[in-house]
Amino acid sequence: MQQFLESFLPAGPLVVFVFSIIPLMIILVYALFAIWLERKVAGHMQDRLGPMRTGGWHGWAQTIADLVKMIQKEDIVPAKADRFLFKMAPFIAFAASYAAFVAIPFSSGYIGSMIDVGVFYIVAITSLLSVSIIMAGWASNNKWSLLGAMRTAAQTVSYEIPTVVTILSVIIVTGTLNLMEITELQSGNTFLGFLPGWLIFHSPFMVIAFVLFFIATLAEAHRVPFDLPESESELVGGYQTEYSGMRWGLFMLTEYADMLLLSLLGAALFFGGWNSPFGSYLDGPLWGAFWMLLKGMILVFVMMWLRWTLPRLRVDQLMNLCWKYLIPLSFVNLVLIALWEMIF
Amino acid sequence: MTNVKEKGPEVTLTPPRDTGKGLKTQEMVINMGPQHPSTHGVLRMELTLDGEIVTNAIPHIGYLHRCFEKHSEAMNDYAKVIPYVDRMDYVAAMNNELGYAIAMERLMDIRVNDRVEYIRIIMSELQRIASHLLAIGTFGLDIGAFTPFLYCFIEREKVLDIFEKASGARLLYNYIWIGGLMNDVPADFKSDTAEFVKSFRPKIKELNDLLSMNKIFIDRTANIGVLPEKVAINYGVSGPSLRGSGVHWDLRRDDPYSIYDRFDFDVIVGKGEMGTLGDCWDRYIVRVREMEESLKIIEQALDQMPEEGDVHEAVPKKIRPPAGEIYCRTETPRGELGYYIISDKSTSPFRVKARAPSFVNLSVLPAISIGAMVADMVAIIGSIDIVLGEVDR
Amino acid sequence: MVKALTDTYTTFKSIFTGMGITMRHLFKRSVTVQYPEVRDKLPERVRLKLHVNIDDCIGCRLCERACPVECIDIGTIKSTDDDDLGETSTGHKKKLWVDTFDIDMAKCCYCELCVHPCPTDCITMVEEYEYSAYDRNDLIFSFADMTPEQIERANRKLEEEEEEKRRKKEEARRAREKKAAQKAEAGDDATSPGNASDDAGGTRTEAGASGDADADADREARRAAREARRAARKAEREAKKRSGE
Repeated sequence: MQQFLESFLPAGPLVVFVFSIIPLMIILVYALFAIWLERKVAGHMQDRLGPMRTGGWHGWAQTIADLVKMIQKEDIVPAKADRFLFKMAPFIAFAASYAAFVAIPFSSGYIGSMIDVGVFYIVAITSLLSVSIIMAGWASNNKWSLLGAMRTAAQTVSYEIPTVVTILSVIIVTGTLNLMEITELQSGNTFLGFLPGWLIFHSPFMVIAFVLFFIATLAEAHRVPFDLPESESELVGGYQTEYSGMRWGLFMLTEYADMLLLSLLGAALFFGGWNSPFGSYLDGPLWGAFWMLLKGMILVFVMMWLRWTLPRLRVDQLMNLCWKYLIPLSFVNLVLIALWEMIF
Repeated sequence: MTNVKEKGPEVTLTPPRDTGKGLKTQEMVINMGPQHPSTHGVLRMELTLDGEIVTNAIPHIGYLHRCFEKHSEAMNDYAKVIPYVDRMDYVAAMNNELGYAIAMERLMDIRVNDRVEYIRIIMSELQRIASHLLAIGTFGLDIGAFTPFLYCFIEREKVLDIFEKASGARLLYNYIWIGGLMNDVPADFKSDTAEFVKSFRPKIKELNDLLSMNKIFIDRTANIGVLPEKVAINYGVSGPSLRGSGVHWDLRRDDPYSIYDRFDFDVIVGKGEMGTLGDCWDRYIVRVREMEESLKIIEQALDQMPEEGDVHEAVPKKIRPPAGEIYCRTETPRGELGYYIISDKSTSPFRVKARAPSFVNLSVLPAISIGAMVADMVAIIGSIDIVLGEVDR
Repeated sequence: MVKALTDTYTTFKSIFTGMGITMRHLFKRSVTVQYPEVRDKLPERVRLKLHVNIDDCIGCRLCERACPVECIDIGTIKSTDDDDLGETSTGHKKKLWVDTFDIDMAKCCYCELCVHPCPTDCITMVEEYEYSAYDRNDLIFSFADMTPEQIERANRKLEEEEEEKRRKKEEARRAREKKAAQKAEAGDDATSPGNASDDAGGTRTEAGASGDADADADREARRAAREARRAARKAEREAKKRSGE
């Protein structure tokens, strides 16, 4: 990809710029689409229609209209807020989730950076999100925001452990932290001759690992049933209470970008990333990007599906679930996968 | 400038505690409402929090006070009070009207014919279903489940459609008049209602699958806000909130008004299936099961309803009750709604006092919410099912 | 341990049941009505807006009295004997000019209590619900169709007739006094039986009215207030019109 760009673009910095802007484009287009999709999914699951007017066909331009509205809105900073932190928080939040995309292999021909510690990098950089949320909650000088921020801190820190441990069980099998290499390892057919060589089909414990990973990422992305930081019926809006306009929009964008990031990570770790489900059929860099995004979107859809089905957990139950179920289970699972690796 | 202090119970915070590591912790006072998404209107709770644990809760009311009682006394006609009665508990207007109409009929010694009675019963039971659907839906919303709320609303719309066909209004009907009804039900009323009853039963099952039996929902509501039987009776709690605590008390059976003694139905009480007796889940499930009982009553009433009868037969031309007073209580979806009316023989009431169930039920809130978490607070308010229009009147 | 396992099982089972239900609904027909293009058929009894068929109004004010929020404002002028206002479509004889019939739909509580007492069924609820306005005064609907000239004329005629009546009465009284004086001159008793009976009648009516005196006073006060209100509103509207021009 980089060589391809260098072949017709003159200068080095320009290549880097174009190269790095691609994920941003993907995130923006995806966010517009995902917010629209979420509305449609919510609508139809509730026997409604969702947006129908803006743009003509099934309200496809609704999110764009909302975006335009949000940009036009007055930028309100509460009088008693810590102005600097208040203004910085949304940018840090978005920067954190955007930076994480650099290690995601979108296709065999495109990865932002071939970092050898890709997975580790993603886990590390997404932790920055909780910092920004605490910043937002503290700087707002609002008690509800503060409660939301404190919940976030506890939640993100706790759920990083099961996430990392389940990722670790993948690493045991692959032996590398580079996501590109992990994906390449999953090409071809292995099990029973017809199932693709994805890691989820590697062993039954991998399925458990994926379920644990998915639950933990739901909590990391603050999605129902773990959306306690913003739980609108309890905390008004959590850390977002005092935000409006584009700053709020950035938080929203971050939430959706985070969903995609974690879904893509799940797809790369367990579902063969950009590998085609039909072996070498429909394979190649462009098809690879398609498969990767499709797998990611399916996981995103499941997240939406859950959101419109389930109630929300309470903060102590959330902690219980993490410390009493997920963490012990993921450790046991890690040992079992290690044993499986030793035996087979 | 002097510091103007609000009247009411004083909030006392415990002095800052030293954790022993040089850090100090202190309780936090937080205002929940009047513009909080889960306070079902304009209730304001003054919560004292220790972390997320509620150590004290003081409800402040009066944001929706509209002088119902004084307005009623200013009316120069008893019939004019009915639109105001509607606006008390605006999600169960039919039941409010029924209570007022029965009180007035007892005061004036008016007998209405059977057709009117049956239509009234069907209407008020349909209204009970609609009201419970709203209570259940918003309760789910408080817990974080958005979708059941809309499923409930779809069903509620069907009930409102029936009301709209009969009375012309969807929320504030002014349909049940003193001595009769505003107008007779339309020709397809019976078939509409029967169809609704038939289509509604599977929806209750679906609701149970989606919400009532959901493990997360049970975890959130069981053992939360436990209202013991004795406390409930001492506070004068009534309606589903009282029955949730296991008290067999339903005015429809224990003090039958209108023609409730002709129907066969069960009084649903909480059994503490998922946790302690009298928790939020019990109060919730009582409402769900009461909808089924209401369906039973509607079915029986549809069968027995006479075809003939003038609904205006007993409507008095001029309402001038004899001097005297009356207290009449009825079972609304929220509990015991009592009207105390004093007549001085003129055409306007001397005094109309309403004993609003929501108001009394709300008073139990501080007693059962101490020690709960903020998220439980929301569940407890939702499970008591208050309507602020009725609390403040 | 067993409890943890059964808990896990029930949790997953209930979650998947719920997901099944929402998935089924995803492919169900939605209940939404795309409002401005598609409109629900409304039942005939809907209460959406008050309408007055002014030709049928006899100015009896029953609706005004029935309204719990006093949103109806009716003004009438007595017709003179030589004016024939005709009959309503229900066969009622019209005796009053209706010079004002304002309904403030911003105040209206849609209870329909005004519709039922109307003897000629001229006030009805109609199926019209798109009448929101930017100004509250735009929600005051005037149904009276009399022009200012007609009102002027009716008022004038009424005054003339009253003047006429008063004059006749005065003349009659004078004639009676004259007669009485003549009688007194004729040397009869000082007290006249006619006068005594008049007095008695007067006290009787007074006694009868005293019960409703409060109500009457009340009504008078309200009427005065309404008149004042109407004048104020008219002035306001005119001022507005002027400023608008």
